[in-house]
This record gives sequence, structure tokens and C-alpha cells, in this order.
Amino acid sequence: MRAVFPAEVIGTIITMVGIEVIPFGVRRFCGVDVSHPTLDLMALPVAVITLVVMMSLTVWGKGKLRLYSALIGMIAGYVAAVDSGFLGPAQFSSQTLPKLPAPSA
Amino acid sequence: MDWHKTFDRLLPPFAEGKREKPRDMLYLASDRPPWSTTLSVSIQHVIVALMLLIYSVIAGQTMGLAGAQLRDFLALGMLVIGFGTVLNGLTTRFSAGHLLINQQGPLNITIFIAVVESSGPGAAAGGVLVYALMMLILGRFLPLLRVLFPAEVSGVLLVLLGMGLVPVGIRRATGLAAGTLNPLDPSAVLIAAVTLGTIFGLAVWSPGRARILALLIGAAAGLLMAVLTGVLGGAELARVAAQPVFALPGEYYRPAPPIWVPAAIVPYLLGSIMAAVDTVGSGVMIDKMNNERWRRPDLPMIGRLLNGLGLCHLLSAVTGTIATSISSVNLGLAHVTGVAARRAGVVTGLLLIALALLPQITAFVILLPAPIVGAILIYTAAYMMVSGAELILSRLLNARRRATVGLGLVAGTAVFMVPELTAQVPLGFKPILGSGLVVGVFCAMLLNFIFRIGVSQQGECVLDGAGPQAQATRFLEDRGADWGARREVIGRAGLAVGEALEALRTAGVMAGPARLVARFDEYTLNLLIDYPGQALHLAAMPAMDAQALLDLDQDEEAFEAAMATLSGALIRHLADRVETQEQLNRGQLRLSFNH
Repeated sequence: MRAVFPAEVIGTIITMVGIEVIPFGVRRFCGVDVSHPTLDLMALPVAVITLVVMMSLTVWGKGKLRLYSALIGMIAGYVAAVDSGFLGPAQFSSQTLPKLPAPSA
Repeated sequence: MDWHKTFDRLLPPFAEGKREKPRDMLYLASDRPPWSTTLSVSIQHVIVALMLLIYSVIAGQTMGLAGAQLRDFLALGMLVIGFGTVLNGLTTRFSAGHLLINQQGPLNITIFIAVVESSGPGAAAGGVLVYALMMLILGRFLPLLRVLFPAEVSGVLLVLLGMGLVPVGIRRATGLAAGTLNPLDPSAVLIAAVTLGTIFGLAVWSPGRARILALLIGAAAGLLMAVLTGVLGGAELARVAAQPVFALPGEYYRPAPPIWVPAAIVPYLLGSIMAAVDTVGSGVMIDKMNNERWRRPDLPMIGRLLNGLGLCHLLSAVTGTIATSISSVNLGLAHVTGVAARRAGVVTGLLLIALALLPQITAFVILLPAPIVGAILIYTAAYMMVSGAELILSRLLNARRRATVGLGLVAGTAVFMVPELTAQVPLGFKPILGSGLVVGVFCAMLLNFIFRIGVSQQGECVLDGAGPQAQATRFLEDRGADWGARREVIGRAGLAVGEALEALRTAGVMAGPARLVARFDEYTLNLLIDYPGQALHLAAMPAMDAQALLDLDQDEEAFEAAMATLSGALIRHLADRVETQEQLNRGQLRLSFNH
């Protein structure tokens, strides 16, 4: 199959995969969808904080900080979400604690 | 002659750029192809330019023009387009000196219709005058904004410009209309496929110079399909016959005198930003097409191009027509034919001016099936996006540059792909916030600006590791990525430093570890190898033949001496300037590379 997948074909595939996730990412980033075309002012700051933390650590971070940039970004996002009330007790209480699957008889 | 200098500063004179012909081009801007080639290429550009006039026909009809008035409106527009195209092909203070064809593009048409409908044609003329002034100001200051347009931002601009052409091209090639769910039009798809197949076939496998006629052959094939499938028939030809053979423009359509209405000026002010970004893209594209060794945007050339567009806008305002911009479809055509000679641009412009007097021919070309233009648009989009990727990858990338390019592309693509994102944007701001091109390019510019913070243009490293050559290469690659230096230059510098360290070791003049200092600005990379010891004498390369070198094998000392000479020659070959000196028991070797 090597002849079918030269570097430029693989490159095109990777580019298209990247482009494909843009609408999903951007809709969640801004909290918009077809039925709610207005920017969600609760979602947007959380997304911006997560992205800025992640990007800054990738660009300016050294050693371990850079390695865990995605994780730290997500934690920053969570803190921002809880702090801003975007994520509150209501969301947590509706979830049940994880359970081991019960063996069926 | 102070006034002369002031004038030169205000409107810099034309300057020809240094170029190396790319493999896939036949004639560059300054070349003079034979008249037969010039004429056949110009005719193809005229066909494309006239086919694009269909937008202007629709705009005229929306304004309530019909019959002789509509014909006049188009003819006056063609005169301005022709004038602009001739101007682009000349070598004046208002010219890019390139084969660039003007058109009444979608942005200008949208603003024109909106302003005419809300405030009347006089207000539109006033708005276009302000637009002209903006273009002249931007043309003057653009060359000072080099820092905003590094190669990777220019690359993002081209990728997004190409991406923006995709929906337009696909709609024309398939007969689909925006916002409707009508099925594909099989005859449109067939015409577009035949045209596109012919163009790509000729561009890829063309024996010799048949590609010069690619569009004519493609359009003829498409036209044949159009007649066979009934898309072009008696009804269309009757509309052509209804037009007079000869008509002087300006008799029926009376331009309204300009009036100043803020509601008309604001959209033009905002539109000028998008128009400038779009023009920079076209300028970069034609420049890259003309130069295998493209390094950075030729902003003085693009500034002159904006000046020329400013003059055209003045004419558009006086004639009451839609302002013009540079046609990307014609850029694609220039690449298809392999001819980018400015002489062809001048001829195209003159032909367009002549055809403004011959409405029947214009009407016929406008009626040519849209899928033909769709096919060329698809070719142009494909070519532009790949060129953009080439520009981006011509520089070394690091985390910040990847973020600049990646987030710029994501921001631009998001506007294209997520329409609800800009659904609530007020109409006046649509030319800026509703344009993926502007949003993406501005995002890339902003990130580029932020990420420049804290990047020193000088770096230093002590080569005391086990492998000083590898250490030097790594250091140059890391610093090169911080600076966004060209891959090729950093690769060459790495080889030269490696060779120099080897020469210093062989000559035995180095008494301790060397220090490598690198200093970069956009035009040069200066390296200094500073070490304890004496200066290295790099002898000039004497003529040497391989057999003599092999014979020297017997005499080891002579062989070493010959190899040292070879090292010196290699270093001189790799670097653009080499200097050696000795100061306070320290030897110094300075290497300089053009960037």
C-alpha cells in the first residue's frame, strides 16, 4: 500500500482530519449551535482560559510544565468553570458515582 | 532637488525584483513572449474577465437597471477594469508591474448594492472616493508593516484565500446555489469536469507549449458540452443578437455626483481593510509564481499595487460603477498557461477597453456556461492553498510558529465552516468579522506579534560537548526556529559551521572550546566562531583535479594541506561572506549568510 499513501496523501488526510474537527471544537468553544447562534458568555471565558493556559505552557513552559500543558489547561478550565458557575452542584448531583458492572447471572 | 526626494518618499518609484524562473513557468513578468503567445494568453484572460462580469450584471439588475442603461453600466465598468489592468502591467509608481487583472469582485459588489439600496448611488460614489483615499494611504504605509507579514502569515493568507474560493468554485461547477437544497445539475458537473480535466491534463502532461492554450481548449471543450447538453442554445444566442454591435458607453447611464453619507462611508472604510488583505494575498501569489527563490512578501510592489487600485477607485467613483479588486481566477489562469509576462497584462487591458465598445461580444462571453469559470476557480483554489502551505513550511517552525499558523487557520476556517458564529454580526461589520480571510489573517498577525515578545535576535552557545558539530547544528536549528529563519539557510549555515570546526581542528589552531554567536535579522544571518588560538587562514581554492588529489595520497602532509584548502573552499561556497581575524590570542571566524 506504500504506493497508495505517499507523504503528500498522508499530509492531505491529516489536514482534512484537522479541518473536520474545527466546527465541533469551535461550536463548543463559543457555545453556539444552529438553534443558539448567540455567543455563550459563560462558555467562552472558560474556553479562552483553557486554551490560553495550554498554549502559554506549550510556548513558554519549560520541562515538565510543558509536558503536562494539556492537563494543566484542563484543570484551569475546570476551576474557571466552577468559579464562574458554569459548572455547579446541579451538574454534579445529577451524575451517579461510577459503579463496577454487576456480573449478570 | 529636495522636492524630488520628497516625491520619491511619498510615492516610491518602480523597482524590478530579482527573480529566478520557477520550473513550471514559461515567461516571467519582465519577459517578452512572442506576440502570438501574448495575444493568445491575453484573449484567455479577457474571456475569464468577461465571464466574471456576470456578477456585475446581477448587481446592475438588482439596482433596477435594464436594457441600454445596464449595457452602459457594464461598459463603463469594463473601461475601469481595462484601465486598471493596463496600469498593473506598466512600470510606474502606481503599478505592480505584473500580469494582474482587475475585476468587480464579490466584496465590492456586496457593499455597492447595500449602499445604493440604503442611501442611493451618489452616496455609493462618495463611499468609493473615500475607499480610493484609503487605498492610497494603505499603499503608502504597507511597506512599513513588514513585521506584520512574515512568510508564515503570508502563507496563512494564501491558504485562506484559496479556501474562500472553494465554495464559489464548487457552486459554479455544480449549479448549486447558496442556501437552497436543489439537486446537482448534471450538465453543469459534466461541463466543469471536462474543463477541469482538460486544464489539469494539459498542466500536468502537456507536451511542450500546448498549456499556453489550456483555457481556450478547456473552454471550447466545455462549450461543446454546453451546446450538446442544451445549456447554451437559441434563447441565449437571441439575447446576444439583441445587443448592438457597436456602442459608445456613457450615453444612457448617468453617474450620480458623489455625496457624503456616513452610512455609506463606514462600510467602505471597513471594506478597505478586507480589500487590502485580499490584495496582499494576490500580490504574494503573483510574486511567488514569478520567483523560484521567493523569500518574503515584496511589500513595496504590493504598495504600488494598492496605489493603482486607489486610482481605479477614483475612476469607479467618477463613472458611478462598482470598485475593482484583483481577480484571483486570472491568477490561476496565469499559472495554468505558464505565462506571467506583464506585457500580456497590458494587452489584456487594452482588449478589455476595446471590447467595452462592442456589446455583442461581451454579451456572448458573459453567457458562457458558469461551470467553465467554476473549473478554473477550483484549479486556482487548489494551487493557492498548496502555495500557502509552501510559504508556511519555507521557514523553520517551533511551538509559537505552529500556534500562530494553526490558530490562524482554525479561526479563519471556523468562520467559513460555522455560519452561526457570525450570524448575529451587524451587517456593517460583515466585511471584517464575517470574512474567514480577515479573521484568520488578523488572528495570525496578532499571535505573531505576541509571540515575538521575548525572542532575542542574538544567541550564543559554547561548543564544549562531545560532538561540537552536532551541538552547533542543534543550536542553529533551535534559534532558527525562534526567528522563523528559512530552512535552507539554516541547513547551509549548519554545514558551514560543521566544516569550519573540522577545518579548525585539522589545522590545530584551536586551543579550547569555541563559542558560537548567531545574530539574525530578516535579511542576514551572521555567525561568529570565537575560540582561544590563532586565526585560521582560509586559502583561496586553487584549481585542483581529482587525480592530483589521489596522487597526493602518498604524501600525507601535502594531502592534509590540500584537504584544508578544500575545507576553505567549501566554507566559502556555503557562506556568502567569510572573514577570519585574530584578537588578543583569540581566533575569530565570521560567516555571513544572505537570508
